[in-house]
Amino acid sequence: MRARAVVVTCLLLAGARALAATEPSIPYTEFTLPNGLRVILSEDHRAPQVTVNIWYHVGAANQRPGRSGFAHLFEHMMFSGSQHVPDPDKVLAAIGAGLGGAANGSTNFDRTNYFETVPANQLPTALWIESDRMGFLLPTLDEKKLVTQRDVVSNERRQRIENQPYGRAYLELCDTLYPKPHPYYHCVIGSIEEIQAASLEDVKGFFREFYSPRNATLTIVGDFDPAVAREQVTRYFGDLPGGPEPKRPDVPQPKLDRVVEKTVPDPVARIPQLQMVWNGSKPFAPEEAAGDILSVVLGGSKTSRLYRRLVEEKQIASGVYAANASLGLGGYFQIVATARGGHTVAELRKEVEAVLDDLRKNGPTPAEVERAKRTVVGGMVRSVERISGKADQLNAYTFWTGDPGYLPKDVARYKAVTTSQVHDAARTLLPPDRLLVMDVEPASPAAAGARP
Amino acid sequence: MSARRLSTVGLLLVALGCASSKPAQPAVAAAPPPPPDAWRDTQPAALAAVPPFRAPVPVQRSLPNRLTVLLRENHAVPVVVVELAIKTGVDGDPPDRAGLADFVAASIDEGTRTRSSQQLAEQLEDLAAVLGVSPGLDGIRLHLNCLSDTLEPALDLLADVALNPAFRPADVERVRGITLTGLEQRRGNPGALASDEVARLLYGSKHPWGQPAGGTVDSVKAIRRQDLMRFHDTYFRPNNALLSVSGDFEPEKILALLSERFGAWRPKSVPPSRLPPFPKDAPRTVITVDMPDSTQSQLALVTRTLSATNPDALALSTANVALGGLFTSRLNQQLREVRGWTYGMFSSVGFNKRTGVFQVRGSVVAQHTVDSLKDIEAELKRYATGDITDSELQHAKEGILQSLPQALETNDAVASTFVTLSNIGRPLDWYATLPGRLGALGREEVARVSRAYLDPGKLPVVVVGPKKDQQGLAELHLGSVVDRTAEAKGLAARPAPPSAPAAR
Repeated sequence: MRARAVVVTCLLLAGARALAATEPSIPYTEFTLPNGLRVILSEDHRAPQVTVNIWYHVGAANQRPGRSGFAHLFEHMMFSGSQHVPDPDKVLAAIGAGLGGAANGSTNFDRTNYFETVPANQLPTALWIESDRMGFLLPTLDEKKLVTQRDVVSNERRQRIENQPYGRAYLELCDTLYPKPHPYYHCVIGSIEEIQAASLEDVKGFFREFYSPRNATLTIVGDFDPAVAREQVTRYFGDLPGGPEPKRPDVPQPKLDRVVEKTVPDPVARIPQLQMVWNGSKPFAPEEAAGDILSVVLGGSKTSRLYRRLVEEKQIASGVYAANASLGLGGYFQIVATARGGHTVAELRKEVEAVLDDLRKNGPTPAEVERAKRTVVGGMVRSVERISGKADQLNAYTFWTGDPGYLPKDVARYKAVTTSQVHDAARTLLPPDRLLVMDVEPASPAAAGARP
Repeated sequence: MSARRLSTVGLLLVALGCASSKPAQPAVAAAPPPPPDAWRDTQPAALAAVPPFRAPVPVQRSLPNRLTVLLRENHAVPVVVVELAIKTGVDGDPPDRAGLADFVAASIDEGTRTRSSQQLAEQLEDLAAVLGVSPGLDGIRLHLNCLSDTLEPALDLLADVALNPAFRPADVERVRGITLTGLEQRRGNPGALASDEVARLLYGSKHPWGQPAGGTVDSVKAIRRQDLMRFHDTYFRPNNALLSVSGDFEPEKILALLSERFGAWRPKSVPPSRLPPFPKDAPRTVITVDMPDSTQSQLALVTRTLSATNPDALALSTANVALGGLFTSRLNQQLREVRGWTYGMFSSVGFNKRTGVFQVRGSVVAQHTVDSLKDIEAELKRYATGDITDSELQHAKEGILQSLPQALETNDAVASTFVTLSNIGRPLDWYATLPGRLGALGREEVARVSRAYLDPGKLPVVVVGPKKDQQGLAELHLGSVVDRTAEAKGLAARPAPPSAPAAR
């Protein structure tokens, strides 16, 4: 899911009493190396640190059938050492980037990122590590490293999906909305069988196809001298071969054409949950902003329609939320309501449908829309208070819009949403006859008869 | 999104040497010219040294009613964070009211004398302000994050919630129903079940901290509206509270703004807490909870250590980072990178005013539950010897120091950190002075403290996972194996509860 969050300009006026500017933006400069690597720099001298963040324009979207989970497994391989940096973790730990999530990577449906926050004077070492795995991963790759990470990733799936309440429903969502051979099936994490089937040849082929300067953007945010940063980036990345012209995945979005009903047994859930899911939009598509506001009006807070009706008035739910998840190959809009003890999914569904019917018919009030817009823009103002957050946001805007300086336009995009657009969104994004309805039911024998 | 490692977990590094060595090149007949990339073999030198990070230290003030105010100005973003901390939390729960502090926290923002739950939520959202209330073992925090141009109306709402909560019966019953649902949910969640067993082992079944998080079904049903009001009246007092402010405020105005809203809050003497003593060391046990359908086992080995104000605390933190807190610590390396049995296995330490906790925690694939415990036991032997190398120590110190700018980057984190320091009895300049103290810490000192407080060979063990995968557990000789499945899952004989709590 694309984060809605963003930043604010940091006008750090030493000794000044003036309050900070309220319109967020992230100042930056950029250049592109001859090999195609786009580089974005943003100075922030609050603390003596820099964060280096690379987005590769590859994710689950680029996987082949039979290789679910592969983009993420590949991400793990990028930490297993490269030709000149056999143990990047060891190097990072020695310069103090060993704690608190300072260095990590993540994979989602459409992109993969790698990042580290290091002391300002260690910028060259961060660039050395990133350039080496961009250019020299394969010479020291071996079967043993792959076997280990296949097992580690399998355990990641067990820990983060299988053993979390409602984790299995998420897999069911992916498999229903994106049936095989769509590359999103089994979500980003993939099936254990297919994770275990990944071969060294798969890793090599994926690297050659997607891991190159031309298919990446490099962002540096923090306490650095731009001239020095440019010189160092050129030194470490300038002689890497550019790689093939990147191919963007182009898979049509499968569309639901009816109401699909599924019961999902969940051995680690003790309370039933209703999920209603519709086909959704792509990031920065014209309908996205209104869809986001709609999700807030419906289920984004205590004042939302669903919370008021299901949690406060009817008291049949213990929690509810709505999310507009935009994805590169088409996303999904999701409503999730967890029962209150003793209540059923059927009760929840009846009330959710009543809320939706009313919203489709009468639309939201102007006050509701205004409140939701403030919530979204407020999130943009505060959420990239961190240099690591700003770096990721610069890369996100670059990837999706081509414009690293998109933040003010993003704010404007949400501020411009009208009540009637949200009303339209309720009608067009959430059709009553084309959706997935999941009834997640406790499956553990221990749960039977034990509900309050 | 899937990540290479959970970002909440401490990370990186093995400390077996300094320079990284290249794999040997195959021999060739004629000496080739050096490869064009040979310069990449060497880690780059650092750039010129930069001035060290200065951790924020608050200015301390107090209002006439003895409410302490901590102020830290920061104009980086147009945001102000105000955390109102009450210095009594779960430690204020009476013996038959487990979950009371949690209940107060869950219901205090559900309406005030002049605002309904909905009105309060609407007004906060109209300001794009976020108010969160979180209960802890030693306090309850009301955490407000607002935009600086709406600080005044946002402060009005924070003060109203803190000082004038209504605890209307309908709101209380709604919160009760949601709370009971949450307790039921925890009975199926391996991580939550393990945490409750850990708390009981650490603090004992008579201690408020040893109760299941959020209380029990019986105790939550027993909590009356009067209990909530009494807790509030007793502990929500300016002399038992702290206001911690970080952000984009005007320093010449902020005290007046706070005085207008909190100055009339009346002090009242707060009863001293009467907590039972922590349990004495018992013979080692292995607690098991059967989760037949789980694909992993949650493992925990735990013990109490020392309080935050103990002079040995920093050395203990450093020892833990070196031995089990980093991604490349041997514990994680062995269980994850050598065996492939887990997504992560780490040890951690934490401190409060009264004691501290050392814990080894992680999830392993179910069929290697017993093998994993065997490996963990072997790796933990180093903790008891304090056998830490110079480079391990150096990397631990560097990791702690360099994590500070990120840990203290946001106003949210800074305001909360000041409260934590105050709650656990550490000086407010703890982080500003940390580099000096950490630099003076020697390997012998760290080894001594590790030996004194970390003897994992005695630690009780918690295993939450499929019983069918625990064959050979007793043969590890980690202590007597006690099956607490029935108690942990609330299946012990008890009449079936009514479907909804009676109105009170």
